[in-house]
Amino acid sequence: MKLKLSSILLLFLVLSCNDHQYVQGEALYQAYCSSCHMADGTGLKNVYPSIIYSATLKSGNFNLPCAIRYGHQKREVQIGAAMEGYPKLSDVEISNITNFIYYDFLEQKPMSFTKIKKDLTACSAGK
Amino acid sequence: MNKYISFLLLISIFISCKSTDNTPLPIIGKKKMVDGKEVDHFIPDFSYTDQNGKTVTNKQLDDYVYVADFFYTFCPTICPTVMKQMLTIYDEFESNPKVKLVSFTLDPKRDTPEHLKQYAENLGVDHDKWLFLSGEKDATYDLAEEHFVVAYDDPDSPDGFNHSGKILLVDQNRHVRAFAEGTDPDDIPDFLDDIRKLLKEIETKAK
Ligand code: HEC
Repeated sequence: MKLKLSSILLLFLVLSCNDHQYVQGEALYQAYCSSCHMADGTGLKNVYPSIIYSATLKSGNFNLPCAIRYGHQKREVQIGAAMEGYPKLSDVEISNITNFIYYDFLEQKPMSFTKIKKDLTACSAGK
Repeated sequence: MNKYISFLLLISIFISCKSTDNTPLPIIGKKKMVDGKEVDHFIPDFSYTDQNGKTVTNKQLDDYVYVADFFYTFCPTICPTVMKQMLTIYDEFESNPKVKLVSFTLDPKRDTPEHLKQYAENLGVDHDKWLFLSGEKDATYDLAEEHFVVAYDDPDSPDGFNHSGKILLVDQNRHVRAFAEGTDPDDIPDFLDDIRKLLKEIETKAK
């Protein structure tokens, strides 16, 4: 009986830890991104795109770390506030936001730090 | 004796429950003096241009209950969240012809009728159901105050002005009857109930 209880407890702990793997990433997302993309990542129609349903992100061809650092504008006409980027965030912070999004919102595998560093050098060259 | 008391208590509970349910929504705001007489607070005359380029005054809204907010399209802080709540309200009352939504821009320089039209299109909403109004900025600050919204020039804010994100319910007699904090999604269910209550009140009066 005792063993059962403690194993259940352990299971709970593991599960709950798993749920909150990217605590800093989530906090940073809420602080820097949620005002436009909403706390739950659903966005605001065609004004601020949804993150959780983003086909662009799911395609795997989107350099999210660069978009976070330097901003992202693809549209010709600016409809709402522009996504300006956060050059002050460190590589680790950007990595945590990126992985919070991939893991919690898109339910995909997190990205390795090496890959994120590589993505970031792709946009640092011109800036 | 004891029985009497509990009986009375029971009755008073019944009565109080009933009365809270039937209490009409209050008329919010301080009374005003008009021609030396004290009258309930009401929204003063206004004249704006909507996203279709048409002039909109209180007259056009007299037959409707409307839900109002103050915003600007380039606002990066609280406006998107408030808009999301407005969209929830829109979805809820989309098919009710008595209800309109009205968003006043605080940034008429950039929020021209054409830009507001594009914005409404990106939101995917009906141009006659949800009016996006632009007009003179200072007049809009004053009008915001009449809607109990604080809006002011603020050099510390990225766009040079600031405001609070209240969403308001105005009846066909220009009285503000309820409000919600547009930044707090938990405020919205009660606000939707308030709108239903007001619609019922109007329906009952019409009979
Ligand atoms: C001021 C509002 C605003 C903020 C804050 C903001 N974004 Fe954006 N974001 C936008 C807009 C607008 C677009 C669309 C840009 C375009 O397509 O031209 C966008 C696009 C995106 C996209 C592409 C989605 C798609 O399907 O095209 C991603 C991913 C994204 N943002 C992530 C983030 C992250 C992560 C943060 C926080 C670090 C963030 N955004 C902060 C406004 C914002």
